[in-house]
Amino acid sequence: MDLWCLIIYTLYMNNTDIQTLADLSRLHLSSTEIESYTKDFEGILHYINTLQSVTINAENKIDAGINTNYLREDDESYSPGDFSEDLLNAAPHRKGDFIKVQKIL
Amino acid sequence: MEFKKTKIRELHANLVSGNITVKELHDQAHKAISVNNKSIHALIEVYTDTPHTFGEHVLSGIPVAMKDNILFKGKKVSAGSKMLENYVATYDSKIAEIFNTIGDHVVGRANMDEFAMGSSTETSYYGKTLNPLDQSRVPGGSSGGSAAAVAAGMAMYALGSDTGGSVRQPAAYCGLVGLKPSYGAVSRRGLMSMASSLDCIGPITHCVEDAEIVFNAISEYDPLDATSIKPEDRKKYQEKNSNKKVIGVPRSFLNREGFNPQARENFEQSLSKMKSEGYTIIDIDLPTIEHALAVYYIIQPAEASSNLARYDGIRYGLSEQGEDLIESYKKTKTEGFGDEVRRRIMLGAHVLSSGHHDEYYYKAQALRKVITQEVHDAFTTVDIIATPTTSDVAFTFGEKKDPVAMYLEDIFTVPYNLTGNPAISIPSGINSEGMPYGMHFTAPLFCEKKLFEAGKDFERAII
Repeated sequence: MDLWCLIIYTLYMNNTDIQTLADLSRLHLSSTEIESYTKDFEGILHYINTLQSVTINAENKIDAGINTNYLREDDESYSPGDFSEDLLNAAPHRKGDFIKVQKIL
Repeated sequence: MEFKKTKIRELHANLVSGNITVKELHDQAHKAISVNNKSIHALIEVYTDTPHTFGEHVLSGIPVAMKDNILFKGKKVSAGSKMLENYVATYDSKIAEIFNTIGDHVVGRANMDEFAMGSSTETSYYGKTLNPLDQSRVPGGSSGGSAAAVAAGMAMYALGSDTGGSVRQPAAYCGLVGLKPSYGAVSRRGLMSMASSLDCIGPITHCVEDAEIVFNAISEYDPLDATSIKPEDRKKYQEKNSNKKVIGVPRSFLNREGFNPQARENFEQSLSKMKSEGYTIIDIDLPTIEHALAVYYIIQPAEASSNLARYDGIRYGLSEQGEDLIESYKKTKTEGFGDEVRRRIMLGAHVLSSGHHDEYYYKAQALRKVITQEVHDAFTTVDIIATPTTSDVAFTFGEKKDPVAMYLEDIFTVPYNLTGNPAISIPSGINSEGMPYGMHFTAPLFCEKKLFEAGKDFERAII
């Protein structure tokens, strides 16, 4: 594959790529939907790929913005059982004090 | 007292003096709901059990509409999605705690784009909301229901959430004021997460003074939100900033295709009016800001796809059963999520995938820092950065067919979700068809006060 083909390959997606993304996202898509998303992704990726040509000057001093999370001591917890009934009632499948799930293995 | 012709402080004074009662205010809101909601479809659930008493707080007793992604314990909340059609909140958001203290006068749940993904409120599972000013047009989004409810007199003000412009753009399209506070100013606890590093709750009001009142009420530090900023740290930012009335305009960012000439003229006229209010207008250079939207459409789907992974049909929400667990996940997500949500989840999966995260996610994170630094540096010479809120007035239904055209709606608002700066949209006049434009001001972090000062000056200037 020459370089040009590689660039085209990275830029655009085909139906198989969309099917893979749907599988990763746990979605069932019909063939018509896959066609339609493939077309949409072409436009979206074309737009966001404009970033690939932007170079970042490593010498730029970056000190703006707040990226600090304030983590607290875990000492303000609720009393046991405060929310249990509400949360269990929200579960689609409940058995006693447990949320019922399908077999995992 | 017609809501749009009065102010929150005035309503409060009339409640205190006994000229009006809480019941009369709510009857007025409910009358507008019964007349307009069937066609406008701003509220997807109307509450009739609000108390008829009020307390000391200036917001107490004033009818408010709440976006359908803010949790009030015991009340339904669906984020405009089928996934959560019958979900009842199991805990109170910080906003709910604040409103329970003020006195809960919420008139209803406002419609929104599904999981706040959209710029027109067309992606809601519950049907679209119409713009009360022209029903052939969108109200904007994703907080379109909140804005339409206020514009149609169903509430005095509303709360929305803004991840890329979702408070400011609908406010502009409905002729209202919309504020996105500094990231970390308003607690996100109990706001359904879309893109956690960008989401902000903000008010939609009739005037800047009302936006200030609501902001002051909701901007409490919350130790239960790790990204809520402590008062002493907010103060450090505020101390550095005095208002010298200098407005910076990022000219090169405005020179773009799709910026309607009439909208440009409105913006230039708006700047001249600020000049007559004693402001100095200068050009500024923000060289990387033109890439903000592309950066946003990597970071936001990446975070959204991670956040929405929780809707698996096991703990709450829609649950469809398949032959095995994986099949159940697939059936649930396919049935529960609409078109735009699926698109963004898949886009998030793509930009985070092992073969692509360097070129997409890490590059976008690095550019986000550069844009943040450039905006931060600009504020060493200016007090306010001004742009229009949108490139044109509200568009008509079905006009934006392809996703990128819809995403471009947020071109002027998105940068400040990436940088965290507070920003406000203020009505700046109408076009030849009577549709409103919005003027967009941005201030340094935690300097909302500057937005309110400049905003009030602007309102005075354009009368």
